[in-house]
This record gives sequence, structure tokens and C-alpha cells, in this order.
Amino acid sequence: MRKKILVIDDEKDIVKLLESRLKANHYEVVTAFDGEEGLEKLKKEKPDLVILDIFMPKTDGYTFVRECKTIVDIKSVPIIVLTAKERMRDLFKMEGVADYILKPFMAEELLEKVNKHIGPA
Amino acid sequence: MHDKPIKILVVENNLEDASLIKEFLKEAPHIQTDLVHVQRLSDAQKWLAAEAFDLILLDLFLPDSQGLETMTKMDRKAASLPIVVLTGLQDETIGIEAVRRGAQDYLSKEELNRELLSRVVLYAIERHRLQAVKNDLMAMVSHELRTPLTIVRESIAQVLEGLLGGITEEQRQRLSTALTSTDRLNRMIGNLLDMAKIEAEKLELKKEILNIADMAREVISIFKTRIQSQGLRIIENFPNPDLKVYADKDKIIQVFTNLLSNAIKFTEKGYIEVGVVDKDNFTECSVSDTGLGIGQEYLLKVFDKFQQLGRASGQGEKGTGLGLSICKGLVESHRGRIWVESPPASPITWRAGPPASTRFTFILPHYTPGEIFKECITMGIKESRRQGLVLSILTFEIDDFDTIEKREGKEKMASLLGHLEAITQQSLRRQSDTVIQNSRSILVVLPFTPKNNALLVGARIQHTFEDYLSQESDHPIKILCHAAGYPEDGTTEEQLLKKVREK
Repeated sequence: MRKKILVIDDEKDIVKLLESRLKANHYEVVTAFDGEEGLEKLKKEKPDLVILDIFMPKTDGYTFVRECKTIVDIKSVPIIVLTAKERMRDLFKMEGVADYILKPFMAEELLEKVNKHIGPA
Repeated sequence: MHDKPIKILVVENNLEDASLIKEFLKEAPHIQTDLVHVQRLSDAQKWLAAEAFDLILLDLFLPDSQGLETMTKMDRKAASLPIVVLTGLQDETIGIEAVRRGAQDYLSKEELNRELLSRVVLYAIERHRLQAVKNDLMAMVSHELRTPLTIVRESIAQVLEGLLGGITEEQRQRLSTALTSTDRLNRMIGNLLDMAKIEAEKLELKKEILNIADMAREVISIFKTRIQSQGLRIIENFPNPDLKVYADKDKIIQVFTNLLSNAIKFTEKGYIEVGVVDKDNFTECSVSDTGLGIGQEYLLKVFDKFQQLGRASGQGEKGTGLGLSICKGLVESHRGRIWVESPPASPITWRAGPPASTRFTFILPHYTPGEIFKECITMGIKESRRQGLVLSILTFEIDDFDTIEKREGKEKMASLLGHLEAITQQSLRRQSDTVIQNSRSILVVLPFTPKNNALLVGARIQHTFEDYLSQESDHPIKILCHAAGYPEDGTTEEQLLKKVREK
């Protein structure tokens, strides 16, 4: 079975680009446009990995991370945070976030990090 | 102009001068002020921590701090406040130097009058406000540009790589150009953001103990292909390959990267030499090249912002005009210094080839193990406080050190400590943990670790080492382990250190 990735970002263009890039590398992709929708998809779709934007309306990325650690059967899903803020990397080292990618990201870096955490599709 | 009175902290040791300032400010035209007067730096720091001020009037010579250092110490507590330095008539140079280091202005105490004081206060506040606006704007704009830039870059990349179907050679070339320019734009935004942070003194260094030659090598390896394809040689001059510095890894790599890419850009033939040399009080790093030299008239300007003059334009990717000013900012934030020589005053004794034409040198200060330990604790506490987390420190000492040293010899003790450090390093794998070897102890900082966990780790290290010792020496040697935790044992570096020193 192909590995499934959940992409959560309120920037629709970013979601679309990530989706086509990941699909081109044979991953299955599900998308959400805010944290709340992300949590629903997370429970329903049981992805192998989450790519998450931090600054989003409604439920933001911080809340998403906190909430998702309380859901028993998915709390170990690796989360890669997508951010333009360099300082996030310190903040997230400790908080149950597996990795971070700084915007503007390079496709190679993105795929390398995805591969590192869940392997190829 | 101001609705509320301007709140001023007057830090002045001389009571006569202070009351003169009070009198003048009371009657100064155009402004209403609210003064707090203190005589010592330590009192100033207490007031600054407790209340919000609009301006500091600062005498640099206080009972507990002398000279320009006063400003640096003050600055750390009050980086976001305008400072006006008070000087004597004779020491105008110190006033100018203070302004260079970030004070808004200086005032000679002999020349004080109402009008001057009023104007200086108003101008200092306004100038400082404008600087802050500029820095915020730069940082904000740079951040906001990242998302659209990501979309542009990734869209181009996907079409270019054929993710959406085949493209013609001509289309490919056009898109490659677009991608190169996007990357350049991205570098410029990154540089602007760095510059804004440096100028706002908001740069946060994450210092650790680093092998400086390894870092130089890491950067050289990034440029290896480019250097070879240009037919250049690279010379590594690392006489002491184990040399350690206490610095922020990313920042030092950035300095080396900027200097090396600069050297490659302006060198058509010959070599580039990267050197890391240990001096008495500092570590000296240099990047030399045999390219076009820099004209004398430009030597002082190369570190200014947006100065791309001085060297005829080179090949390769276009610069942003900020690389060298960022280097300067980064090195100075490490309390180091950077300069350029063209041609170098002491040419390298390299056996083959012509002497270098240009050399950039930067120096980083040495730190004692104790200083590093203190700084690690201070930084760790700051971070823990921000995140609402805990921190622990551990120390390991050899019990009855002097007696054992007499019996076993100095060399043996050094090797024992070396082993103890190695065992400690192996037991701690997280990157944020710091292990420091002092002359007769091992010092450890464990961020985000509760004290009982730290004690468990400590006991494990203690046992591993005592096992090792029982094979090494016929006499029993005991290891003492002390721990202290933030916040339960103290909330400052001094309190934690005191706790581990209590036997």
C-alpha cells in the first residue's frame, strides 16, 4: 500500500504544489486548509506523515500538534512543520515535532525529509 | 509633542551633575519629564527590570562599572531603549565611540543647558523610534515575501522538471533563468532579514563548543566543485586540527560561506587559502585569494551595506551587496573582529605560486570552561523560562583530587578527566546537551531535563566511570556528582552554581 501524507496549510497554492510534488513521487496525498479540518482528516485518514503550516486561521498549528498528541492511536505520527520563521526550529525540537522545513523550500529538501521519516512511497 | 511626560532614567554617580540635570530638565522647553536618578549600574538594571522608561541618560563612569563596558552591560538589559551618554569635556572620543556602538547621542556635561538637553532628548527618542520602525519593516517584509516566493519557485521548478508534461528546450532555458533569479531574490530576502536582526540586536546566538577546522572543511566541501571547475586550487592551513571555539555553528558557517564565495567570485586563477590558527587570546580564521585585489580607497568600505565596489565584478551568481556587512555583524556579535588586507601585510609562506592579493581575517575570542558553563546555564534558563520548561546542571569531580594527583601524576589525571568527559558525551546524545571539561571537573548542562532524571543520568555515568577506574588503578577512586535544577534550586545562574558547589 502506498504511504499516505496529510498536508495542512491555509495557503491553497502551497497545498496544491505540495500535492502535485508528492504525488509525482508516488505518495498518496490528502489535504486540509486549517487545523480543525486537519484533525478530522487525521482521525479519518490515518496518514503516515503530516506536513503542517503553523500560522493558520481557526485552529493553528500549535493547537493541532497539542491536540493530535492526545489522540491515542495516532500520536506517534511524524509531523513536519512548514514555516518561514527560523526560530521555530528551536521551539519544535522539544514538542513532538519530527522535523521542520523553512519556506521557501526546495523540493529536494522536502522529499529528503519525508523519505527520512517514512521512507519512499 | 508628547502627551505623557517622558520617563528618563538618569544613571549618574556625581550628585552635583545629577541635580544640575534635574534642574535643567524641569525647566527644559517643549518637554515634560519624569526622572528616576540612580548612582550605580546595578541599581539602573533593577529599575529597568521593574519599570518602563523612554530614555536613559548614562554616565559611563560609575562605582560598579567603568568606561564603554558600562554601555554594553546596560545595553543587554535595555536593548530596546535609546541611550544618551554623558561625558566630560575632555573625553569626547569616548562619546563618539559610544554612538558608534549604538548610543543615540552624547552630551558633554560641561556644556549642558536647557535647550540642548531638551533637543537631545527629543531627537534621541525620535531617531530611535525610526530605527525600530525600519527594522520591524524590514523583518516583516522579508517574512511576508517568503510564502509567495515559495509558490513562484516551486511552480517554476515543477514545470521545469516536467512534472506537468514535456517542455521545449527554449522554454526550459527561459524557466531556468527565472529559477536562478528567484533563488537570488530569496538570498536577498534572507540577507535583508539577517541584517535587520543584526541591526536590531535581536540576533540570538546558539553557542556551542565547535571544532572550527571541521566547519571550515564543511564549507570548503560545498564549494569544491565550483573551485575545481574554475581551475583553482584550495589550500587548507589548519596546523591544529582539534582547535575548538565557542560559537554559533550556523553563524560561523555563514561567515565562512560568504568569505569563500566572495573569494571564488573574484579569483580567476591561482589558489584560495583557508586558515584556522590558534593565537594567545583568540582563534584566527582567514580566507586569502590570488584574485583581483581591493583598491586602497575601498578597503574601509567593503564591510558597508550595499557596497559592491572595490573589486571589478566577478563571475558566478550575483551578490546582494550585504554578504560582508553580515559577516561583520555576525563576527562582532560573537565579540570578535573582522578586517581585510589587500595585499596581506604578512604574505603566506606558501611554497608554490604567487602570494595572495587579498586576505579576509576574523578572530573569535577564547573562553574559559567556567565562562562557557555560566553562559550555557544563562542561555538555558532563558529558553526554559520562555517555554515554561525545566533545566538541570550536573558536575562530576574526582574525590580527593590533590592526593590522587600526587600519587598518579598530572598526566594521568588529565587522561582520567578526558575519559570521564568521553563517557559523559557518550551517555548524552541530545544536541542541546553541553559537556565541558574543566581543569579538574566535568560540567554538564541538560536543557529541558528534570532534576531527578538528571540525577539518574549522573548516577549511570558515575558507575560506568568507576567501573572503568577499577580496571585502571589499584587504589579506589571516587567520583562525586552534584546536581541542581531550575526552577526548584534557583532561577539564576549564580543560584544554580552555588547549589552544585555546596558539598
